[in-house]
Amino acid sequence: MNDRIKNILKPVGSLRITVVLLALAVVLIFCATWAQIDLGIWAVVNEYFRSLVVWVPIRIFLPRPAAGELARFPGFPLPGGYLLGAAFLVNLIAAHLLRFKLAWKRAGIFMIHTAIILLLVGEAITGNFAVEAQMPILEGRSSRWAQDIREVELAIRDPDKDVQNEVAIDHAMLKPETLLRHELLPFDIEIERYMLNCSVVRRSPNDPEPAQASRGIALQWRVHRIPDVTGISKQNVNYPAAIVRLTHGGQSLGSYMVTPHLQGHDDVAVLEQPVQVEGKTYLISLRFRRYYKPYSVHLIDFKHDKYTGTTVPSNYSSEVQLVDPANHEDRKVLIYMNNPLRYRGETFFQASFLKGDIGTVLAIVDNPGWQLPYLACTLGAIGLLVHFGITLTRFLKRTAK
Amino acid sequence: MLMLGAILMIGCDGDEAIRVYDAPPDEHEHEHEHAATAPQPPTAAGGSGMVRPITWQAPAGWQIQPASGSATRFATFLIGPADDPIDLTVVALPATNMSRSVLANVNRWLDQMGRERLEDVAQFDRYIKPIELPGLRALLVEIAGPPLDDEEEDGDPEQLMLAAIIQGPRLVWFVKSVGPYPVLAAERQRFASFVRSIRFPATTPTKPPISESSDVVTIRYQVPDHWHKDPQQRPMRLVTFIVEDGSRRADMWISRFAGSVGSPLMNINRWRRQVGLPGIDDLGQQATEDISAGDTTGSMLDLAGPKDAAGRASRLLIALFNTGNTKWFFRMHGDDQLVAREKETFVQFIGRVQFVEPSRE
Repeated sequence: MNDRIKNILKPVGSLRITVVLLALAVVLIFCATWAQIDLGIWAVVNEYFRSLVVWVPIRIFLPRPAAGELARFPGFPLPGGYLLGAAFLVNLIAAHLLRFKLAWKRAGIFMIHTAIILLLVGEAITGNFAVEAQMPILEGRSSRWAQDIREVELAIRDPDKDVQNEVAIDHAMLKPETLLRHELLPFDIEIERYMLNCSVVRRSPNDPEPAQASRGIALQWRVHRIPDVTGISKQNVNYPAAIVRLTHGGQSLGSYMVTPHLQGHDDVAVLEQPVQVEGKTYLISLRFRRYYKPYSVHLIDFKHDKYTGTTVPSNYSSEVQLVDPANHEDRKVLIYMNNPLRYRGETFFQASFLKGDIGTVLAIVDNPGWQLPYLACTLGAIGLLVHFGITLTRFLKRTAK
Repeated sequence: MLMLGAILMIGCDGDEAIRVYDAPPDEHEHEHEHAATAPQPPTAAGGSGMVRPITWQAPAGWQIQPASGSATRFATFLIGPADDPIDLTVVALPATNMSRSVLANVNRWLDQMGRERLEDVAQFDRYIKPIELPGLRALLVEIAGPPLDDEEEDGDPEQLMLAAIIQGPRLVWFVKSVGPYPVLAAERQRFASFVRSIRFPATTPTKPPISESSDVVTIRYQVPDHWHKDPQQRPMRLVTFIVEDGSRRADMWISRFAGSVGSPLMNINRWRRQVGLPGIDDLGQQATEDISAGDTTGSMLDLAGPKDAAGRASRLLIALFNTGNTKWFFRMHGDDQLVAREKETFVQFIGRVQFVEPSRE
């Protein structure tokens, strides 16, 4: 290695930088923990850990005048998880190139550091490519979709079509006073109001307050803005709502209130409201983001066993029929705690159940980097043992002399 | 390099703003293999034409509402006067022993309506009558609540509950409405015709029909000669025996509960407080003994309280057994010395208890 490269690597691979990075990581975790008083767990993960830089409002460490009221200033910037992770990675590799020599006595250290690199890369893959969704299924019913309860989408369905029959608008586009116009949409959509979290109450027939929208379920239900879910609130999922005004060719089709709060009669899918456009019916809904699957899962039986004489659960299990015509798959599978099903690169965990034990909720995780943490931990453990063994042998040899 | 690493970690945000799906035209295709007939959706309210496990004909004037929040509530109707309607709910529960047990459900409803519980199925006629549904067992339940003013015991009832229990192919269905007596009394006929209109398109029954006694395990026991049956009926007790020795007295009673009876720690602390002992934080702090009733094994607690100012102390013996979904409690409570003396008899009494499954009766 020539001196020029060494001169560049020397400051980059400095151990002082490692210590500073570790200290910053501790501060980041500390701030992120406090931030959960006002933000939901996934918002904190995205803002603090899956980001390059985060602005930390000082008021997260102070008593709040009211929940959720956080001023943007004053505050201070802090490197986010991705920036720290990338810096760690560069620092570690530079240090190896600069100081570490390939020798047997260093084998343990190499393994430990490789494990750390794998962990960092694994999180980068998980953070960017993993999809985690839930599949609720009633006993005796089948499902072909899973939903990510952290995101919503405004869906417009054409019940007369078999393919390309649903158009979904990402929640990022659902901003108030936005006009959504697209060739795939059968009508223009103006977002009048969007609430990140709401509760619903039934309107009484004599409600003096006017309905929030002119058509559909808004005539019977009203939504109220409530504080967003935080890391310490009892509720753990935000239920958004939107008031949308629909127009087609300059003609108003009325306004609709949409929310995933209101379910259809199958108890797991959100309520869809019919919209008439030139004699044709479309169905509109605001629902949790869906992932359609090329297979179906039929719930044969859900079990929620408890320890005798107590209400403490001893076992949750779902007996399902996995049907995938493309792969000639049609088999019974029992999914229970610590015994997930792995299929098509996805892992099906027993995650929860529907109230009254009438159905199951499976978590379906598609994480291309799922093996890396296992590999990293195994390699790290072996590396520690190897390093300890080498050091011990060296010590014993030295004392024997 | 740092930038490269950062870019790698940021990755690409592949979330398109507008997505197009090929949603399965029928999300319950597999279910069709099990369903015999194509059903009719009950009413509009956004029905998407999917296969439904139940259909009905709602009477004119009943307004179906979107289901909200509850995973068990299948439908809600608004019935009665338009300016002050009453909720009528249709709820489905898995066909467990608890949901199938008519006695347990009716007793829960009687509690809600402030009425005394039924002791056994022989008293069903007071509140329940069967209703004809093709191939199904269904029951109509009508419970009138007492007057809200306790002093007017013989006054007209002010509340009414109309309910139906229907054993569906996979689930037990409950149709229920509670409201002012005159309003719901006027809805009686329509309620009955609504229940009669209920059908289950997937008609293959997979669970046994409702049986009033399917989970009602009974017990047999032999009473020691010196225990006397208390003729007075006490709430929550199946039977009470009294043991006396001079001025000392102890009561021994048997209770039976279906479903949850609260956490073990909560119960133990309640019992401990009953004899004047402090509560505990951990179940491990309370000693229990194994006890047998025939071939059924349970647990026994012996809680001796501290002496009061008069030098008296009370003691509580509790034996707990589970038979299926039913919890049995055998309790002896009274004078410390008397209960201590009777403990052996109590254990022998329980040792001879037999839990009898209905089919063996």
